[in-house]
Parts: sequence; C-alpha cells; structure tokens
Amino acid sequence: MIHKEIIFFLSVPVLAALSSLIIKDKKKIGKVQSICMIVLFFLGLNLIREILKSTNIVAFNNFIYLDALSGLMIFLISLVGTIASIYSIGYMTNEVEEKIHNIWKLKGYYVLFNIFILTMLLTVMVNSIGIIWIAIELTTLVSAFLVGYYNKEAPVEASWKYIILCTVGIAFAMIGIVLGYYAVTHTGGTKELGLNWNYLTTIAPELDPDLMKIAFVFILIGFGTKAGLAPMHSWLPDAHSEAPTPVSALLSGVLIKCGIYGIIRFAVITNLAIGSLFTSKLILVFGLISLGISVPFILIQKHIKRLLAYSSLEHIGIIACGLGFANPISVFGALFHMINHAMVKSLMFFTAGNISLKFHSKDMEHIKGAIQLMPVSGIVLLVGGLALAGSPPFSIFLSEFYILCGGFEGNHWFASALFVLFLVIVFGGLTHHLLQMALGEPNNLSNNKIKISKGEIGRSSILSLVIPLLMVCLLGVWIPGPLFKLITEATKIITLDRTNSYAFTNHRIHPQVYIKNSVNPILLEGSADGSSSLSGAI
Amino acid sequence: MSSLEQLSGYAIGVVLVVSILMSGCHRLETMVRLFVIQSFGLILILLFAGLINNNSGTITFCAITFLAKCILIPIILLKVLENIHINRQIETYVGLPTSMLICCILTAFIFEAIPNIGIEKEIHVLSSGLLSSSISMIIIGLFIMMTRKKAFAQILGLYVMENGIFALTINTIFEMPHIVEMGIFLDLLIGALVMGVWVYRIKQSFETINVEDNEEAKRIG
Repeated sequence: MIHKEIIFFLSVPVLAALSSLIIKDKKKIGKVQSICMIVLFFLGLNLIREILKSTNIVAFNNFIYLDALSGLMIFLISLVGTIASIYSIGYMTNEVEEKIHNIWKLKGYYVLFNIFILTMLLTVMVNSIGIIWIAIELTTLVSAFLVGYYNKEAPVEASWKYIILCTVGIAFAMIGIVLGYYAVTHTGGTKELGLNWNYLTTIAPELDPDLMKIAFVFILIGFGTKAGLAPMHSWLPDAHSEAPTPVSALLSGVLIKCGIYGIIRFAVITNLAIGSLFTSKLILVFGLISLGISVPFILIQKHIKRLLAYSSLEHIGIIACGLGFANPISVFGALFHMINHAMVKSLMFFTAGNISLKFHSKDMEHIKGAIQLMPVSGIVLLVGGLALAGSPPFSIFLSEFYILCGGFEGNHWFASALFVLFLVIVFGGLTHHLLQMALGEPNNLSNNKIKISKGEIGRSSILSLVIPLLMVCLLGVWIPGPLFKLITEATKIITLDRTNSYAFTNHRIHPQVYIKNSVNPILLEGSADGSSSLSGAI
Repeated sequence: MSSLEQLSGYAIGVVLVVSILMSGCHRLETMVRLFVIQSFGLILILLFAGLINNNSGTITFCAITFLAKCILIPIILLKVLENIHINRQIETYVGLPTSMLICCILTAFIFEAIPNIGIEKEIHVLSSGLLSSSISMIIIGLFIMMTRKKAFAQILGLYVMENGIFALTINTIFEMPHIVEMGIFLDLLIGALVMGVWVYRIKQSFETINVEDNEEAKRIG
C-alpha cells in the first residue's frame, strides 16, 4: 500500500523531467512543470499524513525509512519546489525573450531542476547513512549545472568552487561514515544492516565512544560544508548569487537544510552512544561562528543576491544554534526555523530577482525607489525584509524566540547573549540595505543606461510571491495542527535520549508546559487538534 | 608470513610511492597514469585480503572497482585532457621538488604517529602499514588540491584522496554494504564526467584552466 504511494511520489519529478523534453511550446513547459510540482506537493502531504499515523514507515526491504523528520523535509522540499517552479515560468520566459538562451537550454534547465528535486527527496527518504551520503553528493553534481547555468565567467567559477569544495567536504563525511561503520562491525553488528539508521539507533549504546566522537567530527565537517556552516561556507555566497533566481531559492531554502539533515541523523546516533553534550557543543560553536562571520559581510554588502546569500549563512547559523542548545524548545525552534527561513528566503530571492531584472542590475547602489516602479514587488521587498531580519509579527521572530528561550533554559548564557547581539546587528544591517532599495527616488540612469518603465515583470512572478508571503504572515500567529504535530514529532526524534533522562523530571524544560505557560498562548489556541495529540509527545 | 601477505606489503609500498610521485609530477597525463597504477595497487591489496580470508564476493567487487577506477575514470580524464590541449607547464604554489619533500615528511610523520591511535585492524593477516598509508594518501591528495593551480590537477588530487578513503575502508571494515559501494562508484563516475565538463567550460570561459587567473576569485565578500 505505502509502496505504491512512495513510487507515485518519487515518479512525479521523473515524469516532469520527461515532459519538459517532449513539450515543444516554451510557455507550456513551465506551466506543466508547475502542475507537476503541485501534484508532488499534495502527494507529499498524503505521505506525511501516513507518517503521522504510524510514527515511522520502513519500505522496500529497508531501503526507505520515513519518520517525522523526513516528513518535515519532504514538506519543505515539495513546497519550495512548487513555489520555485511557479516563479520559473515568468523568470525563464523573460530570459528566453531577452535572448539569453534558447529553447534547449530551457528544457535542460527543467530536466536538471527536476533531477535536483529528486536527489534531494532521495536524501531525506533513504534509510542507510551511506545512501544519504551518495544522494547528497548527487545533489552537488546536479545543482552545479544549475549554478553555472549562464555559462559566463562568474557562474562557471562559482560552480567550480561549489563542486570542488562540496566534494572534498563530503569526502570527509565519507571518512566519518567509514569510522562509524567500523564501530558497528567492531561491536559485532550485522554487516549488511550496519549503516541503516533504524538499525543504528538500536545498537548505538554499544558503539565505541571514542570512535563515534571522531566519526562525528568528520561528519560535521563534511555535511557541514554542504550545509554552509562557517568556516566551510565559502562556496555559498558565490553559488547562491550566480545561480538563476529560482535555483537560488532552492539552494538556500532546502539544499543547505539537507546538509543539516545529514548532521542531525548522525548526531542522534552519536548522542545515543556518548550523550548529547559533545555533539551539541560542537554544533553550537559552528553555529555561532557562522552567525558571527555573516555579520560583517551583511553590513558591507553591495550585491543584492550576495546579501541574501550571507543572510542564508546567518540563518543556517541560527538553526545550528537551535540544535546546539539541545533543548526541546530550541530544537523545536530550529526545525520551525527551517520552514520559516525557506519561505522568507524564497520570497526574498524572488523579489530580488524581479527587482534586479527590472533594474538590469544586482548592485544595490543602482536600485532605488523600488516601491514607486514596482508597487507589488517593492512592498513585498520591504515586508519580506522585515520578516527576514526577524521583526515581530512574522514567523521568523517566533522561531528565533523559541531558540533563544531554549538557550536561556539550558543556561547557555554566554552563547545566548552572543546570539542576540549578532541578531541585532544583522537586523540593523538588513533593514538599512532594504529600506535604501525600496524607498527614495528611482534614477533612470542605471549602469546599463536602459530606460526603466513602471510595472511588474509578469503575472507568475507576482503569483509565486503569494504563497511564501502568506506562509510567513500566517505562521507568525498560527501553526496549523498537523504541521505543529509534525515538528514536535521530529523534535522528539532528535531529543530522544534527553526525554528519557531528565527532561521529564525537570518540568521547566518540558516544552508543552513551557509553551502553554509562557511563550505563545495564541499558538496553542490556533492548533487545538495538534496540541491535543501533543500530550506527552516530548 | 605467507607469500600473499608479502605481496600485499609490496603493493602498499608501491601505492605509497606512487602517491608521493604524483605530488611531484609535472605532466597531467602522467598523473592520470600514476593514478591508474595507484588504483590497481589498491585493488591487488583488496584481492589478496579477500583470498586470505576466503571471501569469494571480493573478486566481483575487485572487477567492478577495476572497471571504474582503472578503465572508465582514466578514459574520461584523458578525453578531457585531449579536449583542453593543456598538458605541460603545471603551475604550483610550491615547487615540485619541495612538495615531494613535504609529502615525504608528512608520510614519515603519519607513520610515526598513527600506530599510537590504536585502531585495530579488521583483517589481522594483512601486513601493517595500510592504515598509515591510507591516511598519508588522504593528506597527499589534499596537499595536491591545495598547491596546484590547474583545475584538472585538483580533480586528480580529489581522486587520490578518494583512493586514500578506499584504502581506509579496506583496512578498517574491508567492505561497505554492497549497495553503498555501488552508489559510491556511480558518484565517482558521474563526478569525473561533471568535473570534466566544468574543466572544459572553464577553459572556454577563461581561455585557461588556471584557477588563479580568475579575476572574480579575488573579489571580497
């Protein structure tokens, strides 16, 4: 039964890739792609419903393993994929009309786009850590073509840097996996099952602690490169800024989270073997370094897409901090932040893409008075910018607040103080840059000396802004019940050993009590069905 | 000491010497050939280990490894090299004799340090030194990647590193689960193709595959 659903789900991107090869009309290609992605999204929701019904699903002879954490990632990938494909319609036809590339490049784009989605889905759905590694490496190889899509000097160089850095990084992760597998065979584990995640969780307490420590360090460096954690982040700003805009949204919204997903999967096993102190401290340090490094670059940035890329670095740092505080409430915040960041960052990349297409420039100095020229995109730039910076009514504020609460609850005073400090500086920097672009008088003499007319780029470019904008505003005040349940279940997976040890005895850390008493009464009111099933969830 | 064991000891020696030679090699084509010798040496070690342990599945695995690393990947790499018409004048940040010397010192240091770590060998009949050699190869691969300016040489550095991980796998766990093993080879092959394409594109876009000449690379932030 579930086999069929998984096959249907995974065949959608394959069919979409094939359809883009067959269809000849360039306008139809984009529309068919969007429909395919919407179908993918709903099939994904169906799959998530099945996951929530039965906590975890093992299928295809232990090849596929689905639990709430994979469900969350499936939700993210299919949602951002849908939004990006809707945006692609307008963006790509615009590119074709401006003679940047021909119809075959368009077809190539859609084929790669779908394979990219497929490899990311594979990453989060497979059981074996070895195959997670393979899938993540495949995402690098496929998306490199998307990053270097324009085939000019800067994109080619960005994608070369991306391939080499991520491949070397992931080679380190391989060393970690080899060492982890060695620990398994050394304790007499079954060889063929030895890398399967569900099997590893059962034998994890017997694994050699020293070996697991070394293995985790390698995994953190390896998958951390893919996740864009500083100081292994140097591919990230180049790749994000040179890729076509929909691809930037995918890279920033979901790809770097696939790296985090790999780290989480291995960290859970390491936690079971040696306790969570070691892994959480390491992740926290990397998170704070990422946050700290992003700050000066955001302040001095001149290039609009690089600004957003460095903001991705900041947000991956925030997620890592949330995981590093290793507190149910902060882990909840980190997972929630993954969704929020994906939404806000897609929104911002699309708006920035619209604006830079209009102004024929990615240089923020040339972009002035966006609100006057493009009423919708300009206002969305302002609203999205506030949301991105973490201003209160929006969802990013909520997840950052959860993470911070978790930090204080766990008595990480110094780290929490640094966290707040960096966030405040980034807030200032981002709002400064975005206000400058949105307000003011537009100067018609941009660097290309092209007359800029008033108006939007196209209908689909506006339409694709609607979904993320709605999500950003909505999630700030209300989390739908099933989504809330999904995140809490995923939190439960990550903090598994802690719930058994002391989280239950210490009522202050119990997130449900915590959320009910202090953090967000609105949240629970809105999600009555989710919270009822939450009883004793964490 | 059986003769197979002795032979695998020689093979480890050859693999290590080839790695150091690669760090001092000045022709890209020769580097590809040395990579083939290195991979072949590793396959022999794997074969001997399989024979000593009476593991029949190893032979198929060796055949697949041979197909991937000694035939397909070198063919792809040589094809790329033919297309970009660049062979000689390897430019490095460190002189070739110096880099060879540095690699020798690194290897000696690793051979001195590793036995103290205390990772026991899975297959006790294999002659010692494979663990140290594998880590030396990983480090030499990284060194080649860091010091060479040519994009193509960086790919070879990556493959030396990968061979090091392969050696580490033989030494510690002997074999990964087969499906993972197959996937890794698939990744390596696709990797060779993709990186080959990119080397070609760099050549087209910049008229050189010298990474340092890219002005964009010097951009800050």
